[in-house]
Amino acid sequence: MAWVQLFLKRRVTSNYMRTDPDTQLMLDVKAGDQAAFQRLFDRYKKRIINYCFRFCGNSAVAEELAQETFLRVYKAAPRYRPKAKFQTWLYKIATNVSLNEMRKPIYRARLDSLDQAADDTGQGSAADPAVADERLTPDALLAAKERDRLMFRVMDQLPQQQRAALLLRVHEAFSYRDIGLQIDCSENQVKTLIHRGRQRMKKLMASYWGDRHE
Amino acid sequence: MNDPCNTAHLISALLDGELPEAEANRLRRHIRACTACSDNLEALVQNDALIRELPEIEPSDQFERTFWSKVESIDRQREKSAWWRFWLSGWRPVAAGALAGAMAAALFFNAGRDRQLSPEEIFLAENAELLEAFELIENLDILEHWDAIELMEEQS
Repeated sequence: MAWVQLFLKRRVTSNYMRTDPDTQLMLDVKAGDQAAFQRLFDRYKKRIINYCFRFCGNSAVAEELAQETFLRVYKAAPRYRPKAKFQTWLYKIATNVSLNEMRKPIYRARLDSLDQAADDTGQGSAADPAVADERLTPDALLAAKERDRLMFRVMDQLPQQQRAALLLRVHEAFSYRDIGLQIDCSENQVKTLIHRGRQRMKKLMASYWGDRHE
Repeated sequence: MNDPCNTAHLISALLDGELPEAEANRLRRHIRACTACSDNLEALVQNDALIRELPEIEPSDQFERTFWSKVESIDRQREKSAWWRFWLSGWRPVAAGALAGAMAAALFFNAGRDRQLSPEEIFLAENAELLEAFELIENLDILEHWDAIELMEEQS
């Protein structure tokens, strides 16, 4: 019955609005409140940059992806209708933006050239001294850099959906239900993606560490 | 893959806190008694920790500047298109269409009606009979069918 579905949908929507302050802020943005957008941007910019950074392993590309994410939010504001928590929606956009970027044929070549430039200048990549912990000793710093480089390489070899699901769960601590909304999958599919991602990662880590110790 | 008990997918869900409580307790008991599953859990915990420990980056100096300049450019585009949206919203397109149609019809039906005559044409009209008498013009009686001639000229 359509009217029952509509009623339930509206009820869910109003629940989100009551419980999620960020959704309320986004509704303020929809009403033309620029300061509300500034607050959302300030609240999430670092998290979204870092989420994108985990996808691509390059800070310059991560910033571009984060900008594109927030620009899409801003453009979508006039027709915004809360269907999930704001954070879930925001990460869905960031995931789509990141996955779309990776599907572009030019992406790999661009990333390689940026990494090369970062290696030459010592800035911008995962091995950037600015992103490493300054309290570490030189040896520990080197080991940490190597470990991060390896992790990015392993993450890079995971299928895109697995990588997204794993990052959303392990790093961003979203529930399976929210991840399902973000990558358009059922909870069971999310469970399988994360499990397979973890198994593949375990295998890749074992093979990399094995290669290094030989 | 070393998963003799076929529990790897359950261990993954356990790690995420996504297993029902009864099933989680059952699995925890099994893991305590099974070395392979215990090792599997430990490896997954370590790998998760590696993902969490990936370095954090700070937004660069130009990140915000570039972003807000892009937002400004979107605002400018919105302002430009606001004029068109105003005219294309509600009853305005219908009214504008009706007005344009009325103007087109008026132009069509009145084309040439108010054309000003030149002094030569006025002279000819005023002195037509005299000029015929002097045999400077001929067939003046044709002018009685002037509307038909005008129509033929337009068609040609």
